[in-house]
Amino acid sequence: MTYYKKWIAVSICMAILLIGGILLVNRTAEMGSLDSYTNLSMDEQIQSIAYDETSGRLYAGSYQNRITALDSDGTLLWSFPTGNVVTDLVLGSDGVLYAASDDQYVYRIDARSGELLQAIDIRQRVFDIAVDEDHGLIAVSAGINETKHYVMLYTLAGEKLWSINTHSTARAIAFSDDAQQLYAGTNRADLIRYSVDGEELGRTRLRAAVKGIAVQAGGDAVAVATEYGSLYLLDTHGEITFSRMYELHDNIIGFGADDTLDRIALGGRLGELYILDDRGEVLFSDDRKAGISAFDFTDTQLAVGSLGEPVRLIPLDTFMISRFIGRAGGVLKLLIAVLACGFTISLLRSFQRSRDVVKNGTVLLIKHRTAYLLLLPTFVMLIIFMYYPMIIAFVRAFTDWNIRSEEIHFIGFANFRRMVTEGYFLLGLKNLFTIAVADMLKVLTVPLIVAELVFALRSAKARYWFRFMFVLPMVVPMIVTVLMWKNIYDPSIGLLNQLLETMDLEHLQRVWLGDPKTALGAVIAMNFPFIDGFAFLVFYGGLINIPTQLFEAAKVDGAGRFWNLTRIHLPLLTPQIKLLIILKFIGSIQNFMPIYILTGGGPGVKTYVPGLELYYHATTFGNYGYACALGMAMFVFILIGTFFNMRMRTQSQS
Amino acid sequence: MNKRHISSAARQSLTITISIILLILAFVPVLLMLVLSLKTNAQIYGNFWSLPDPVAWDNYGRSFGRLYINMVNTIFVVSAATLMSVALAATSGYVFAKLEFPGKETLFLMILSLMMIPAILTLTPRFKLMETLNLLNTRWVLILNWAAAGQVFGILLCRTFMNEQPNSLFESSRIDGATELQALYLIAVPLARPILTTIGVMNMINFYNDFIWPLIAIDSNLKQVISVAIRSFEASTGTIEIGTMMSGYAFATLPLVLLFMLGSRFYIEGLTAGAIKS
Repeated sequence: MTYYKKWIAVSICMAILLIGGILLVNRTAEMGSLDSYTNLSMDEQIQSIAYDETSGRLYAGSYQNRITALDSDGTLLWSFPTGNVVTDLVLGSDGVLYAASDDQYVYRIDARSGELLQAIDIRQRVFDIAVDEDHGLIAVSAGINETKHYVMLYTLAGEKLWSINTHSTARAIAFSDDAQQLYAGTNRADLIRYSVDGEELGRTRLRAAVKGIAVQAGGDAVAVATEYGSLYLLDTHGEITFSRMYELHDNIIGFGADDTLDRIALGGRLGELYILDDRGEVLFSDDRKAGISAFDFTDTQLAVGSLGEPVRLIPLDTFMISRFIGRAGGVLKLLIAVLACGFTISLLRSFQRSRDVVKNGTVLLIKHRTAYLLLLPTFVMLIIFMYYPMIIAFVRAFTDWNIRSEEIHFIGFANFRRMVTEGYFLLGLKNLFTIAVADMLKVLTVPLIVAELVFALRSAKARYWFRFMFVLPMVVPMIVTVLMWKNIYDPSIGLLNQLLETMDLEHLQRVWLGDPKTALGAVIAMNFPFIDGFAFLVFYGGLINIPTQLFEAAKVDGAGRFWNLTRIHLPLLTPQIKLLIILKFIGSIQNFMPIYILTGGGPGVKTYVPGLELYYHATTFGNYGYACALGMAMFVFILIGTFFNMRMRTQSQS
Repeated sequence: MNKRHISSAARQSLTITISIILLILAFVPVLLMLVLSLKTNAQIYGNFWSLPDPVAWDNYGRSFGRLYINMVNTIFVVSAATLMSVALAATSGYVFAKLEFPGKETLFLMILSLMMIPAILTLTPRFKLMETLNLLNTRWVLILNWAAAGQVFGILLCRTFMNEQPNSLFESSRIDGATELQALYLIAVPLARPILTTIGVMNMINFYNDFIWPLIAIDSNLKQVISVAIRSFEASTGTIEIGTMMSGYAFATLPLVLLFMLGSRFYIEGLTAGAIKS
């Protein structure tokens, strides 16, 4: 037993180190704060932003109905009043600033002087604009209310080409790279694709209202941000190629990306800031007091606008560094795991043997080479096929390891969150609980009764033959037993329904495994009358080893059979009972084969168990990281069960 | 006194009656399998309860023709894995029981700790590892996996058993100039034959019954083991020949029945080996 205690200490040590290491890596990858960057103070709540890197000028549109231009040292250059909130700013290449406002106008302004060049009357609140100077087009998304909303195309001169009602507010609009398509994202969670002639090409249904769209220059990827923090990547045909949710406590209010979509920025209403790379990995994150509402990427810098803080300029190199840390994280994790192993082993060894061992290590290694050489095959096998997969399972449970992508990314506890949010695991756990309780009852009752029956037989020969016969069904392979029971439950030629028919009980006939009401019951009732040969042998062995003097004494006291059972047998069989409890517990969690064969988890999810979930994710779905996390969860359950079982035993002994 | 004797005899017969009823119930699936395996589909659908008349022996011929390759695979793979795991268990068990060397405790602890690791935890990484090693769809994917896992408990059993053997035996052999290897194979292994048989039988049953691992690791039906292959009757399209399917099940049961007949003692010891050190 001392081995167990030591082992538990070791495993706890390793687990703490491992989790500590993982958290550490997680933190370093997400470190960073806006505070350390250039700030351009502005007493306004910024809604949109444009930054001109060559001149160092910053243009910001605000809730205070103003467009403001600042010099690189923060001095005010000019200010342009609008009739309402400035919703979008686009800086053209020829020094023209395009501005959209809730005051129903799109403005063209000279960026140097702040002089109004042209005001285009849209006659509706303008939510977003997109400008394509090469083709001389402005796309406008504007509306009156939730059901009257239009996507419109204008020439740069302000001439309206066409207009289409989207029947839902579209907060985001963008041109494809070749300006042949127009994307509009609506509050009804549709990403609609229009041709440049105003024809609807298709829709992609996303999971929440669209907040922002960005298009890759020279490629065909489209990035879409939706309410509550999801990012999608789509191709020009509207197929979703990537989606991921980021932790936001409220809506997304700011969204931006660079031309190549290598950097994507998300800003939350409560001040969350995420900078992502082209694969959606978090490069940089910060948590501010005020909402992050606007972004503008230039070649080397990112301007961040906020609802209550100064505008910040962050050099893009910053993200390269944190990306490197993120990449190094993988190596670091492995290192930490190795260190943790080494540390615990050396700790143990330092207790047992002195430092001489290390000093004379090589000498001893040679001296005892026979022992080590003889152990070599065992350990080579164990390291390759047991320890290595074990470490991989522990580490990769925290990654998005899957069949689709070449690279593996660290995703923290997302797999474990998925378990409790997705539902299948919890549903499976509920079914598993029912099955495990039933298993426990089955293994502790019938085999004990059978053992008592055989034990009560007086003739030694009868005892032998009954024991033999009760054990015999065990030689039937498990898979054959399960398949036979599947046959017994068969609706047409199954024994059960045939039996009911001959007994004139046709109304009780069921599709036992296909009926949601009976499926779980049928799975549990498999193997009736539940004579588990192994449990029977364990109980019978326990009964034989009870000293006969005890019964003699009981007989003198005039004890009956029942008294014998409750006062002598059961107390003396506690070790057997505890052994069977823990073995059955582990078995119930691990052995999903009968359910896989009988119902495959169905009908619906009526007989679904976590083991099946793991199997499907490890094979059909190819979500290896998630499968590892499921395995880890089941391992933890088994560990907890074993721990309580051991405690029970020691208590009863003391 | 007489009265008491009678009631006791009545109690005995009651015990026997209940036992027999339970036995019959326990044998229902096996009996059903045997009866159905000798009937044709027409006989089964015609009268479910009738005994086979005429007896459809062809069923066995058909299922044998279909499954014998899988049975050969199974026997080969299970035997190889069993031999390997027993050899590994004997060697390492001997080292931990009879040799002194630095790090012995730590290494033994490392093996003991594996008892706590459920197979399901490592299922996914093992599968991907075998894929990387290009072993999927080969016999090695089963042999190596089973041998590696099967030796763990064997080492613990072997160590306990060999610890109880007198040290003097080994010391005298060393004085006579025997190497450790000779001591192992000439003295330790013959002495440990009972426990090695138990380990062998236990592993054989476990390997034979394994379903999920071969299901994942082997795609080709020609290389598949019997436990997965007997499902092919179910999966095939068209009408299922129930009799043939049942004879296939019976065929798959045969090797374990033979093993049980050859040595029910070792079989039972193999099954209850887990309970020995409880």
